[in-house]
Amino acid sequence: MSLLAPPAQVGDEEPLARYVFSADHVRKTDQSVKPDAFIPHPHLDLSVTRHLGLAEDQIWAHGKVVSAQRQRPLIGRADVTAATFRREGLQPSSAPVTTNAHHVNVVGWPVGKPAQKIIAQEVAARARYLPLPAV
Amino acid sequence: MIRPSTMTISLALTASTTPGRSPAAIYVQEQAMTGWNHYQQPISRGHARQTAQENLVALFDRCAQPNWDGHNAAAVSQQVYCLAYRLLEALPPDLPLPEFGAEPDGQLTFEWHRAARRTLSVSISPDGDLHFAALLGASRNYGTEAFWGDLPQPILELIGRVFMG
Repeated sequence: MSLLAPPAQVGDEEPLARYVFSADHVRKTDQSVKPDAFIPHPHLDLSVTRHLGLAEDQIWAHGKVVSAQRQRPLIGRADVTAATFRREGLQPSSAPVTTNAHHVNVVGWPVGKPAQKIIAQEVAARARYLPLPAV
Repeated sequence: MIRPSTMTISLALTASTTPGRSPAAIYVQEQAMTGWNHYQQPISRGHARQTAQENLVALFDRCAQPNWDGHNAAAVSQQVYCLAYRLLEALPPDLPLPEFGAEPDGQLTFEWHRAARRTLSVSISPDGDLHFAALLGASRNYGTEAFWGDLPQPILELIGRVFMG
């Protein structure tokens, strides 16, 4: 993984990866990601990982670290630009952790469930889902 | 997963009935009990609906324990499962069947999806609220409807708009 920490400011066009650990969060019909994968819980923030400066295999490697922490198999990731979150009034905020210098918290979620759902719908509609490549 | 008996669940639900509860709360509880009884019985009706029922049961089994996502997800409760079953039963037979999902706050989702911007998601909450969000071209529609045993008309209309045209 990259040892260089990315700049604190998350650029609008930066892709952010939301790792997916539940097959129920991917549509069987067209292999796109469902809004369910973007509902914030247990706190009003959403963990994503910046692509900036990472090679493709390094992006997946971060997902596998999270997979080991969660003890759930990584099945894919949904890539979304920072601008997509900002358009919905959310703020992607750099939040490096020991195991991931590229970690970002997306904050500013509303409390009400319907408002969360429509934001998650918009984000999912603009996301690009990638299944974990077969080895 | 070990499924508790109908009697156990019925007693648990009955025990939660306290004097002074609102008619809405009592109704939701009755709906949940009916749904739970269905959970215990052989699946019947048409093949597609039977498959849907089986998928819903399987999803419930996967998400019935806390932390099912490895990130502190709330368990999908029997109450939520039973309401979801009742909602599935309430769908008119000529309506496309939804795809099911679960959210980390323990709510089950029904999704009618045609394209990225022709899509409707409905979350079933433990208290019988249906939280919905739809993208329909450039417009968006979201809110909450109470589930009283019939599919609420606004949600029925949104399903129609997902598949219209």
